[in-house]
Amino acid sequence: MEAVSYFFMAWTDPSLLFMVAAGTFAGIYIGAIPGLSVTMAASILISFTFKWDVNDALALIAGVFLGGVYGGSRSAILLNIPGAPSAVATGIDGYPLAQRGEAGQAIGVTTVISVLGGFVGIFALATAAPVISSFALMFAPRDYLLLAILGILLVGSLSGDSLAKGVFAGALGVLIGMVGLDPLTAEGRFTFGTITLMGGIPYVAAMIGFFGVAEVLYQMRYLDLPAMKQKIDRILPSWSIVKKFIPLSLRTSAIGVVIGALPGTGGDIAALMAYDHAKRTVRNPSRPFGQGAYEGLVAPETANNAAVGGAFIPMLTLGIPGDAVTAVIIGALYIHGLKPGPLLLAETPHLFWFTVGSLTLANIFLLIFGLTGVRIFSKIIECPKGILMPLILVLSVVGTYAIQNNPVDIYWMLGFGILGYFMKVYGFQVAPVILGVILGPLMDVSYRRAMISVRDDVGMFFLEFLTSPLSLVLTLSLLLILLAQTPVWARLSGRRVRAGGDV
Amino acid sequence: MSGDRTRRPGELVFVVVLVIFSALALWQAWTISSFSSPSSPGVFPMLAAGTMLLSGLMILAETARRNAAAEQSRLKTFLREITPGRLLIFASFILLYMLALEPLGFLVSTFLFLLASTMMLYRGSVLLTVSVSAVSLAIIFAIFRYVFGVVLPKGSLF
Repeated sequence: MEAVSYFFMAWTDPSLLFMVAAGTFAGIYIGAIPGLSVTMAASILISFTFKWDVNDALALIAGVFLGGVYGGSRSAILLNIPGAPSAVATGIDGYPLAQRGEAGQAIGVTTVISVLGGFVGIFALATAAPVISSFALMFAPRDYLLLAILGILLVGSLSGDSLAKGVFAGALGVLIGMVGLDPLTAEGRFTFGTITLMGGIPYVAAMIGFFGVAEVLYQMRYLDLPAMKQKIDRILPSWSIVKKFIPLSLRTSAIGVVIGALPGTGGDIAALMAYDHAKRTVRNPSRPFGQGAYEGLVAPETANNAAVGGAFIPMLTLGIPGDAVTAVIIGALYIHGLKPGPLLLAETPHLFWFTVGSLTLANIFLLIFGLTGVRIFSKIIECPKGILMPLILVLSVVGTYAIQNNPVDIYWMLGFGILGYFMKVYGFQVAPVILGVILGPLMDVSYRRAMISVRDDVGMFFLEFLTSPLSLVLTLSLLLILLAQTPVWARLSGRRVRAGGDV
Repeated sequence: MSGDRTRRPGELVFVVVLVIFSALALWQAWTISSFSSPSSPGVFPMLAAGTMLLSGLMILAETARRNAAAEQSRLKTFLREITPGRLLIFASFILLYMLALEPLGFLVSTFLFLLASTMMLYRGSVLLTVSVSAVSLAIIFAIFRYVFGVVLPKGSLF
């Protein structure tokens, strides 16, 4: 009964209602504008909202998250430029549809099925999280260590140039997270005797640097892309069209939830896998794939919205982010003094049900905003980048400064921004870095607790990876991911690996 | 999955720098507590830095195997493809902006930064640039000062 009242908290409080609506609305445009990503927006927003009540901040971020994941599809359909990483697969069939003059209907169908996918994700979150949470109390420190490594490896191996680059980026993040006083013994690590480094490297500066500044610098190379104009007529799709895609939507939503719930991997990978799934399983698409098949639009768009709810599952039950955005949200919860982990659901159930409620509400707003205001929309995404990019930079500076009012943080931000730019240019992913920064301290503490519990016996430590059933499953999955990257595996299963990993 | 794309200009140098950085980090991690016990504070940093070094070396091997794109004048291609003039100028604007924040304060330095970078990137008329910068600064200031209640950098002069 209590859960219900927390669930509807955001629905009945006018200011929270406004936060969710504003967040969703802003999210759609942030997602739609190429170069602005949800991760960027969330990292900047957490620094602005840290003085707020945690509920207000969460309501806003939930809206931005759901809206942003959907918004990317708009520019993918209209401009053939994915507005966000999760919309990369959407343009493959979305843009041909726009070229045929069906942009309006494509947007309408996308909106309705995105909302459907969103609901599947939220439903999975509401039902699975309490189960996993009670199960999570049985997790030993070494299982957290394994899960965290698994998350970084997954995101590292599924995106970017190569596994080695993903691993490097993740380890770099862990190293950044280690700087400062050791949480168990208060010994300085990588502090070089300076007081500035004792407090550690501010992770908000790292997030904004890697996702904000690096992206702004990267966009400098693509300033002159011409904007395309599209005619949009009716967008409210007829029920008969939507109905046709419901079976596929449910399958791809399930893919989205699972990929989203795996630590580290989020909407972008879910969308690509769902597209691949649709391509392999749909016998008679409305048109051939790549030439404007609605199935090619439905699959990635349901999956990436379903992945939002999925990504919250490990975050709220284990304190391990399901993707880059939830990694940022964990950062926000830390700032608000909350500790995401297995006890979160037991100690602060209101936070969980409030999050589920806000996400549900955001999903409803998504339907409303998605089906209206398309005309203004096309004006806004034509906003020239020459004006937009300097503004994003100013927001990044304000955001970084706001957390500790320390000018040094701004230099950290610029430094990480420049590093992130070169990493992007040379085919490294920046998401594993942020996962590493957030998970690093957790991994360090888990590792040492596990080691202390076996009285520093290294042999015993490794033996426990195999003797506990849960650890064994995690260890085997870890080995499988590593094995999947080696040439031996490719030879064994030939085509399938390429289909899964090369999308 | 690495495909057979050619090496981008400057890529090898970047990877070498990463490897050197990893080695230094490993050495620094070693100085924290060496191997006094498997649960001492230095072990996990050593594992992280060691992983970086190992994967860095793998990336180096991978990168060295690729063919460089064009042999003539590497520096020129690097400047053209990786750090085009616009990027360098914009980056130096950012740096100047950060340096100016403390003496000039948020309002003045941000206005100058927006003015200069919009002028360079958007190349609109002077009137348009000035009004766009002024209006967006006013909106940012109002929102952050009053909606978010954020402290904005105060200058020593203004």
